[in-house]
Amino acid sequence: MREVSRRRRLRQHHSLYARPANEMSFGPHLFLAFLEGTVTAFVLALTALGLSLVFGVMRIVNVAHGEFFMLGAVLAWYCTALLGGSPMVGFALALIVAPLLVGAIALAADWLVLKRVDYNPESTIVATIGLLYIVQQLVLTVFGPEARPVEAPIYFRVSFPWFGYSGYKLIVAALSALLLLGTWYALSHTKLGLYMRATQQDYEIAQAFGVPVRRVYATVFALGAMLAAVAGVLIVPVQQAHYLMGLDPLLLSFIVVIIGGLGSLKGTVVAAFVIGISDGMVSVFFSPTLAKILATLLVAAVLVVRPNGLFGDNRT
Amino acid sequence: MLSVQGIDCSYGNVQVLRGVSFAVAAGEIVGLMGRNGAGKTTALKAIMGLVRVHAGSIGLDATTLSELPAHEVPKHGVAYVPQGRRLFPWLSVRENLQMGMLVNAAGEDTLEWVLALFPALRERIRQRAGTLSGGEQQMLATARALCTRPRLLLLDEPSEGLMPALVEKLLETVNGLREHGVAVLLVEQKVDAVLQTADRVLFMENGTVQHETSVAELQDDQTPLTRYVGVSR
Repeated sequence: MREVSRRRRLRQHHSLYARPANEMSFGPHLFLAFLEGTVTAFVLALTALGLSLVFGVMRIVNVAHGEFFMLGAVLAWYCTALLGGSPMVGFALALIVAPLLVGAIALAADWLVLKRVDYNPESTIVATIGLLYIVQQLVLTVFGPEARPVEAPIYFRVSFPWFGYSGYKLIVAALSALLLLGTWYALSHTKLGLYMRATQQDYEIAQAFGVPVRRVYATVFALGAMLAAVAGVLIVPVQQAHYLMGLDPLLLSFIVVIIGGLGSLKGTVVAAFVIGISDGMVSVFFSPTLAKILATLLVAAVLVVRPNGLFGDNRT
Repeated sequence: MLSVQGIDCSYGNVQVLRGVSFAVAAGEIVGLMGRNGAGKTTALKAIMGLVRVHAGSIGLDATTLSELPAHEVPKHGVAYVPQGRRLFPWLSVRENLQMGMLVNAAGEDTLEWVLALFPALRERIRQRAGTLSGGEQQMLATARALCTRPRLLLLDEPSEGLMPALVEKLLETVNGLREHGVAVLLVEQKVDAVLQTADRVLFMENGTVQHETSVAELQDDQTPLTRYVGVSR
């Protein structure tokens, strides 16, 4: 019984994309594209923010960032699959367990790897490439090569006059928005946030004012990974968990971070919306491939005009 | 209070300090002079733990500062006004002061005290530090250090690029710290500024302290100034 209803739900879910374009007139179609783009933008902002924080404060390029996203999704699958019962309970558990575990993994990586190479910008690129493969291959070994679906914790459709839209996706957008707000608040109103910004601006003088810079680095690396992991958990009911799923968010995050200006929270969010919404629009009306091409062109264009990104000199 | 005993420091393979020793007592202002590259700034950084000391030791009363990680040093009452101000340019004036206050959990009364010393900062409290004028930035850098409630204040060329009236004001403030029993180590190129405020002067050359004299003696015999700094008055 349960299995049947689940299949039906999944089919309904997917019918959203399967609906041929000529069934709707332009206006509603545009609105649908906008909705899709907004949801993408919020999740992307969350993922990219992690990357941006790590680059901004620690000055290192974390190539393994997408793997933290993937780990979040995979751990969400384990939480819901192992726990059984109501998808709500498993998912709620995943939202807590996955970021904590991924944060712990990131702390271990910081201690075992990044600290050993003294956070050297070049060495950390190579080191995080290594980390990427280690995580990917471990997940392939343990989790397997197949894509596994995770049921959405709640299922309802929001009916617009022209089409129904997945209520879960709107919740994803809302939760992402809350987390973005939370991160902004923590950065601008807490002692840790102040220490993070001070370290970003002058790590030597930050030490002269009692900031344990090494501990701030470890915390930032863990926080960045946790943001990616939450994004992975939120997206998995829409996308399925797979050991290679980290690549796309990594590339898009890099695009967002470069357009927005490295280390700028405001820039990251703005760029995520530019990329997310244009990606949604172009994907719906033309093709996802064209969307990626345009995003890449946008990066080139922004870099020509503003080499530091849109908000490169306006750090939060 | 502060006692530096035979410290060696290097940047990579280049040895910058060789057996530097000196002491500063509570309530005393000591000037540190010398040509560019003599090791003055490195000596201050070594005290702050920002440059590793690989021989000798630095003590503050009973604490051995040179054994502590850099971020623990300010908690023992050492404050640093670095050369070129080195404010956190994207933080507001208030946040910069807060960075100082957090070091030893200073309260609002400390904030009121430094704002009374530098009233110009009060008007700019919400402004981004990077947008302040040079003089205001120097005041903020000093205020930020005072917010840590220091027992020892290290000043690296505070008069650099300031107009005379401001230098005067700044030295007056430093002089006022004497009453609070604060020890001050002042690195300075301006001879007048040192003669006006300091009790003693140390002259550095090639990474060692070559000569030490009281300001009174220096007033009479200015040969050390010509010899180690290359200026005559």
